Amino acid sequence: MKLWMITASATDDGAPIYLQASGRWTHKLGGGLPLSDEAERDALLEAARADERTACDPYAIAVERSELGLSAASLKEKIRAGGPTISLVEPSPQRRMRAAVGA
Amino acid sequence: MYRYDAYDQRLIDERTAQFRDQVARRLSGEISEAEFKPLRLQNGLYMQLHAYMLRVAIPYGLLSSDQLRKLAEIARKYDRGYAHFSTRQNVQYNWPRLQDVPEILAELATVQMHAIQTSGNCIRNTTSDQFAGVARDELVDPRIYCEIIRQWSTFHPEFAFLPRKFKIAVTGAPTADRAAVRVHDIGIRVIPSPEDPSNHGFEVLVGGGLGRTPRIAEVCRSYLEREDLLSYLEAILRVYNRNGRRDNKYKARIKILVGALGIDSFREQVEAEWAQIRDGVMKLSDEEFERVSTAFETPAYATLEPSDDFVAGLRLGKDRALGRWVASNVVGHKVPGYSAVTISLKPKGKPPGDATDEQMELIAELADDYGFGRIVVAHEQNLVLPDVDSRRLPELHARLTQLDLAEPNVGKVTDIIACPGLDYCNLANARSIPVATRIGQRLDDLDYLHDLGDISLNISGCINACGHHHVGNIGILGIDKQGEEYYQLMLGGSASDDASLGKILGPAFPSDEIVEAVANVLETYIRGRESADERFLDYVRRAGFAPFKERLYDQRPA
Repeated sequence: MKLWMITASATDDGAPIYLQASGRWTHKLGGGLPLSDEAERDALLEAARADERTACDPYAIAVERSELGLSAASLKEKIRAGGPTISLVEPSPQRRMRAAVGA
Repeated sequence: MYRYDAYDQRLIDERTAQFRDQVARRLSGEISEAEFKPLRLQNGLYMQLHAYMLRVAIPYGLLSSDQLRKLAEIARKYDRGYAHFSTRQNVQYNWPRLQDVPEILAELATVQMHAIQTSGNCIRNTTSDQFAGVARDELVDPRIYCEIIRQWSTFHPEFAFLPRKFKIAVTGAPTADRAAVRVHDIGIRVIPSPEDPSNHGFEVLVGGGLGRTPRIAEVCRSYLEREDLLSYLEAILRVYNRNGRRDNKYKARIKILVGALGIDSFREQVEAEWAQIRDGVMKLSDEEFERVSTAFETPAYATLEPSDDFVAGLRLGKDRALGRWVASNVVGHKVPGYSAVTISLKPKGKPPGDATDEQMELIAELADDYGFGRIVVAHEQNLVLPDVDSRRLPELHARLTQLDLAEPNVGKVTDIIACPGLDYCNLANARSIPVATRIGQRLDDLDYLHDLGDISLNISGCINACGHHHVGNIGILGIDKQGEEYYQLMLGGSASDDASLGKILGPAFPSDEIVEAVANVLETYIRGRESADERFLDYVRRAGFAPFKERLYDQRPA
C-alpha cells in the first residue's frame, strides 16, 4: 500500500516539518500523519498551502512503514529528515583543549 | 584592501534596513512565501534541504582579517560554528534562522560586507585569480578591474532581471589562468597591447559555462582598449538581455545564445550595440582608473633579500613535512623576499571548503601576524595569505601544524572541489562531500600524493555542476539510478589556459566502488606516464581512454 506524508519547510528556520493528524506541524517525520488515500492527501496538501505563515512550499512525499516506524522512501527525503550524513567540522584542537581543561 | 567609501556604506545600510522590514512582514504573515522568495533571493538567502542558506559576497575573494573575524563571529552566534567557502570565492552559512538574517546583515555591514547580488538573475560576484596583486606572471592587478565592474554592476537597473544569472571572471596573468575565465559567461584576460607592449587591454571571451550544457567560452573581441571595458560589457549584456531565452531556464544562459547565434553573429550584434555607446559616459578615464586603483591599499612591504633560494632549500630540506608543504602550498611573490601561502581547507576526512569559527579567527590572527591582515578566498575553496615574509615560512608552518591547517595538498588530487551535494542541496541527486572525504582518506600516503603531481579532482552532486566536474582533470558526477547513488567518472577536463571539457569514461560506478575507481585511474597514470614530468592531464590527452577503460572496466566482474 502506498503511503504519503505532507511536508514543508518551516518559515522561521527552514527546517523540514511534517503535517500531523491535528493539523499542526512537527519536526519529526515519525510524528507526521501517514496518508493512504490520494484524495485525502490532495485535500490536506491544499489546506497546508493555505498555512503560509508557518510553512513554505508544502508537498507530498512517499513514506514507508517498518518495525522501526515511519521513514521517507527516497534517499533525498531520508537525508532531509535526518540531517547531513557527514560529520560536521569537528571542534578544533583549541576547543578540544579548552573543553578538556574546563576553560 | 579596497577602501569602501560612504556611498558604499550607505548602499549596504539601506539594503539591510529594507530587508529587515521584508523579513518582519514575512514572519508576521503579511507577505507570502511566493512574494517573499524574490526578495530573499536578492539578498542571497536560499531555502535548502534542511534550513535557509545565506550566501555572503566576497568581492574577488579579498578579505581583511577584521572581515574574517566577523564571519567567524557570525558562524558562532547565528549558525553552527562553521562556514563554507564556495567556488565563486564567496562564503555560505548553512543554518541561519530567518529572524536572525537582518541582524547578520547588519553585522556584516559593519565591516562593509553584504549578500547583495549573490543570488538571482543578475550580475554576480566578479571573481579573479587568488594570487592577484602578488603573482609574478601577471601584467596588472586584475582586482582593479573587478572592482570597477563591481561598482558598475551593483544595482545596475538594466540588468537586475536578466534571463539568468551572470558570472564574470578576470585574470591579469596572460599565460596562467587561475580564474577559470573560459568557463564564465564573460571571461576577461588582461593582455599586452599589440601596438605598445608596455600598455595593456583585454581579450574578451563570452559564452563559457558549466551546468547541464557545458561550453568553453569563445573570443568575442581579441583586443579591447581598457577605456572601453564597461561600454563593451554593457553591449554584451544588452544583446544577452534582449535575445536570451526567458521561456526555458535551462536554455537561458548566455552560452546557449552564443551557441544558437554562432560567435560571429553574436559578435556582430555586440559590436553594433557597442558602436552606439562606446563614446558615452562609460568611457573609463585614467582618472577613474586611478581613483579605484589608489583605493586599494598597498601593503607596506619591507625591503627584503630575494628568497627563491631560501624557499627552494626549504622544499628540499630535511624537514619533510615542511618541505612538502612549501612544495605544494607556497608560491613566489612579485616582491622580493615574500611568498604567497595557501592554507588548504581540505584536511583529510573533512568537508572541502568548510572552516570553523575558531579556524577563521586563527587564520585572521595569522594574517595579522604574517601577512598585513589580508586573506584571499581561492575558487578552489582554500584560503590564501598572499604576503608572507619567506624567511618566516617555517614559523608559519609550525603554527598551522598546531592548528591542523597545514595539509600539504594544494593542487594535489585530494585538493578536491566539491559542491554541497545531497547533504545540503535541494537540487542534488547524490552526495558529494562523503565521496570527497573518502577519497581523501583512501589517498593518505603523502609521498604517493606528491608523486602524482598536480591533478584536479572536482565533484558535483547533479548536472548543475556547482562542483565544476566538467573541468576537473578527474570529474565525478553524482546521479540517481532508481533511487541509488551512482557516480560517473570523467577524464580530461581543465579550467585553465588549456581549457577542455572532460569526457565520460564509461558506465557509472555505485557509491561503494567510486573511490577505488579513482584509485585505479591514478594507478593507471602512474604506470603509464613517460616520466614524472608528464602531467596527468597530458597523459590522458596522449594515451586516450583505452588504458583507463581496460583497468577499470575490462577487469571488472560482469
